[in-house]
Amino acid sequence: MFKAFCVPITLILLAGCVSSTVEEVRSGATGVRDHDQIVVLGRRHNNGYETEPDFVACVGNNLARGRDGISVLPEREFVDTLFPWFEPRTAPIEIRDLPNLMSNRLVAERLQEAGVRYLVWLDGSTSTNDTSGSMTCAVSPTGGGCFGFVTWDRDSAYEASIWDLETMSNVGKISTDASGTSYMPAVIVPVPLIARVQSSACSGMANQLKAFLHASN
Amino acid sequence: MQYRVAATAAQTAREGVPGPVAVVGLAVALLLGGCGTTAVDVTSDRFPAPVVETMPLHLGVHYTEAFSGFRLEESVPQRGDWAIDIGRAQVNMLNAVLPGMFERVVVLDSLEPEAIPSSLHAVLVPEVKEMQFAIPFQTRSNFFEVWIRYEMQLLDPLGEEIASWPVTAYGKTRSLMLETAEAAVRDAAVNALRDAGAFLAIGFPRQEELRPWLERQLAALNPRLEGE
Repeated sequence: MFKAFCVPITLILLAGCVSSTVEEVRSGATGVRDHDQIVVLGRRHNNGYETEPDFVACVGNNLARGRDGISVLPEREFVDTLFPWFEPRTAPIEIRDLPNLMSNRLVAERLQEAGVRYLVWLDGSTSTNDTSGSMTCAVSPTGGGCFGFVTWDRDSAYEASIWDLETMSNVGKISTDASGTSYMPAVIVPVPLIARVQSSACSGMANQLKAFLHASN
Repeated sequence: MQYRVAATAAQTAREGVPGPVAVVGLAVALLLGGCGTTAVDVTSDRFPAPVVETMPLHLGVHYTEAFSGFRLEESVPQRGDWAIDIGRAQVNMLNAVLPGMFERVVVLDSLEPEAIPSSLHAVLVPEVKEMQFAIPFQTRSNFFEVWIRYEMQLLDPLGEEIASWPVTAYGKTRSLMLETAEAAVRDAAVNALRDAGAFLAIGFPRQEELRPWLERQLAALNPRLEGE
């Protein structure tokens, strides 16, 4: 009886482990005043991948949370307010593109009205690799179920570039990598034991960003 | 118990679970879906006005029936027939974008000379030359994609062509576990329409074909500029 409980609980505890690393490179001073807003934007101009909108929203929500939370303008609201300058094909890619964009009087006015001080560009994605195992499901008049075991690895790799609109400079970069293995055993009912890789990358990125922006140098 | 299963499924979807869950979901969807046409009606009217300098010109715009009712019908091998209606959405897009670019915009029902007010500087007639779409099954990627190629024709108030130029648009959206293919194609089409609007709003004053005409019009409106 003890074993019957202990084995699945151990499995749950062991499964879904995520390892993650966060690195930071600072190239300019930062600081957040009461009226400063920041915008977190996803890169979408690459052909093979795009930064997931839910990851961008997750980082923004985590930045805004807590006593040291920062006021974050939602991505969609910002992109609509500045349409058509932050669409996938028109958004500035490099920091050297920013002065040209800011020389547009209307764009500069909109950014000032919105009180946006920092743009945080998130570039990267989460992918699934090395799926193995098999599972068979069957349905019959008397019932149905699945039997088997499947496992897969997920990797997240994201990099954030932080642009200061006041100094029109790239003040730093933060990168986060996370990986984890998920399992799905099935004896009649499949039980997914998910490694929350993207969530881990999100919280790691948001915490580091928050500390980076609040730090004065 | 049912609630717990549903919560697990949602969590699973967010983390992009491959394998059996996807297979079971796909099998159920295929069984329920049958072999009919997949209809995608793109009706979005949430296109923002562009942040660009408004040109002091009065523009007419004429949407042909082919344009306002544009529908792409295509058969995808092993994935059935698709019908994608973008007519209404692309009219909505232009109705949002053009008033931000021009001082006054008038929608014209006809291109008959008597239907075109003489106060207009030009009339825009958009046309869809080509549209394509792709689903993950075809591209072996996680994306639904939509391409549209427009031909924009600018006429003078007498109906003579001033210039015509192409506008290309591309939109994609990620394949999500709990989202239908119809919704994904719809999102990709809306992204393509936004791209077309962005290209039009930024590109119009820079278009080589239009520059001589545009310079003449602006100079006529502001003789001082001509003197300079």
